[in-house]
Amino acid sequence: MNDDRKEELLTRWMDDALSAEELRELEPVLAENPDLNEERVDYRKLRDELKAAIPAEVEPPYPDFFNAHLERLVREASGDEQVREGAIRGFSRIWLWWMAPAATAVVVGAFLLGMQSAQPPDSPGLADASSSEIYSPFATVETKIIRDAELDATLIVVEGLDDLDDQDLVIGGGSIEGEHGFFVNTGEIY
Amino acid sequence: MRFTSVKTLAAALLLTLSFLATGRADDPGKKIIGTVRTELIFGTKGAVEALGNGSVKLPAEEQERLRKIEKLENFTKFVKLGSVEQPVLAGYKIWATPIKNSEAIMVTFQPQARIVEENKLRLDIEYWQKKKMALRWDRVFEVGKRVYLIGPKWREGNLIITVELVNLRHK
Repeated sequence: MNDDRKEELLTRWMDDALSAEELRELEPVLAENPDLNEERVDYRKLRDELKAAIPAEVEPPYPDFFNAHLERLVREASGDEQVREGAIRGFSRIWLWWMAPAATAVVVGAFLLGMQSAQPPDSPGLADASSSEIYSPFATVETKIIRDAELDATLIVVEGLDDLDDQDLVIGGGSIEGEHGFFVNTGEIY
Repeated sequence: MRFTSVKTLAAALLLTLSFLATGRADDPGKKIIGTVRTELIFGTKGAVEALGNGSVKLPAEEQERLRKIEKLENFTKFVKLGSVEQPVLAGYKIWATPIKNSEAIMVTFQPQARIVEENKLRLDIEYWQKKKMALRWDRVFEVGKRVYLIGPKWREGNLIITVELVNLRHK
């Protein structure tokens, strides 16, 4: 049996997803590696604990933000990937499958922490909520945040937005000051 | 008999209206928690006279500071095209149109959290350009400190959207 097939069968064996025929195919491997049974027990224990600790489904309050955060975490993690590659090679590849629930737990944990930071007013954790995460649905848009001490302001420099046409901004009636615009009830009170 | 029915109907209508009015007055989402100002600035090296009286020159000091920003360093003039000041409501998303009746540039605000003792308010903000949401971010705003969004090109210059938390109500 080649390694890929062995890995596939082992992974599904961990989840009790093997047919009787596949189980027979795997039996020689299990006989050669009795430790695998013990590892399976550990894996199931971890899986059950995670299932108990993490809600089955949580609707993110701001899905776009959540995705943007997630993408950033993935980008940051991939930056370290090459450094870790040598170390990972020594591990059994099966462990990578085992680590998936743990990685999910970390991501969900980060998400829950993020939700906590959006809790009602005047809560002590808010003082740390000063960072910004900018999201754009357009792949061409890039942003850079600059803290300008002289202006005593924050600059968000945006590249890649479509230019506006002459007629897009109809001006000439004098600078408009005062209250205009409108309000939409969100059904949520922060 | 008929008169009694009309009276009953009128009383029911009155009760319904007063109930609705009470409901509105009690809408906690309408609580004003601060004021936010959105401005649209135009930086250009061309003539601003063509804008007619639809523009107001920025103070020289602010123009000088803006010129120090890398993306704006070639512009010689900065003018304000429009400004809008709106209350921030606890349970409402605010749509700001710095150029009145123009939906080409819009900014939305939605309050998320308040740090009263530090005069700060966290807002979720969206920048909409030509009816499409182009950017979304969240930020803690401090009263009196501006955020400049160096945005799209227009004519021979660049548009800059500024957002400022003008005040924050403590209770």
